[in-house]
Amino acid sequence: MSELVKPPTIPATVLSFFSSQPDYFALAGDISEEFQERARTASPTAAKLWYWRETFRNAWALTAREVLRTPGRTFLLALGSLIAVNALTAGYVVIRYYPRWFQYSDVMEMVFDPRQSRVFLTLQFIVPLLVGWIAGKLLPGREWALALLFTLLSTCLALPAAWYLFVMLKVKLPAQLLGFVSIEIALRLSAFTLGSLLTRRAHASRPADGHKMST
Amino acid sequence: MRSQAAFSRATWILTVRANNYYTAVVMDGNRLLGGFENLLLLVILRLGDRAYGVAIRRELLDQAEKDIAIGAIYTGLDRLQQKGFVESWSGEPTPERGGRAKKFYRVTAPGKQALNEMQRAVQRLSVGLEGSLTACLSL
Repeated sequence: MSELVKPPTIPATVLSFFSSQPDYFALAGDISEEFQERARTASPTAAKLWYWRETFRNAWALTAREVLRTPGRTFLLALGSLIAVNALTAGYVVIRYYPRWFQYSDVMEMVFDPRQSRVFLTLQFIVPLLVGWIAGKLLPGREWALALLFTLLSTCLALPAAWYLFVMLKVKLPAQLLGFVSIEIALRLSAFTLGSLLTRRAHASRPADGHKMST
Repeated sequence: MRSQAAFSRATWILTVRANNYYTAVVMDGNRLLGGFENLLLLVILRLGDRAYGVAIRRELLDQAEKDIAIGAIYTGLDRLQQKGFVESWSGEPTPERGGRAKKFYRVTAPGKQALNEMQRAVQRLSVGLEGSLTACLSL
């Protein structure tokens, strides 16, 4: 038997991201088998190019499969997570300025005061990270779908709000405040994604499970 | 009436998926057999005991001229397995598969029945449409 060619590392890592999905080992084996055959019959370079292409086509198909596995439950959990993250961060602001109400000058103080902005941004990282971790635990094997839906829901809420603020009310915000809000949103989304993906593991880690028959 | 009998046994649903018209037939309650699933069942039947991911993908490419990602094939096979139309078993792991086992599929009796029902419904509904179908092909 001729020597086996090693598949490219990056797409192989991307593919292993979906190792918690049912049939992952059969799927990865099929791609590997076809890759080795192409490397033998065509050339290793052509086989590697095919592997890259196939990995991203499959990543798309596997993402769709993960989202559609339990769409209602994933959506509800993503929505619940979004409400929880907003409630917890808003709760901090209410407690921080209690008994008076949060004002525009407080926003500016939060942005320009390095200590306050650090505390707020840390909160914007820790809270979504924890909520994401808990939500990921509640939805094993669908953590990636959860993170995607959380991002989608956040965007669906943020875009109309931004449109209303900047187009309808024609509000002009200082560049520093806009920058702060952008960092805060990016931090929140990446922390939630990180938190939910921390719980992602390979559920079916055995490469072969004998001759079991299943229907 | 034959056509009415056909509709009482099989209800046709048309949906649009990725610019392709996707046909599904309702059987035994909510067990749907979609267009892609129909293709998969035919391919598994054709392949016999050699029906696993790579072979199914190749057969779809050679016979149906459809280049489908293996992930999408497994999604369809998973749906078919949940409906009880196919059963699967694992083969031996091989070095070129990175030590991973092949997953073989076989069409079950309800799967064959569903496929048969689908084929018959297609045949019945196609009666008298030969002219229209030829006109579509010549466009």
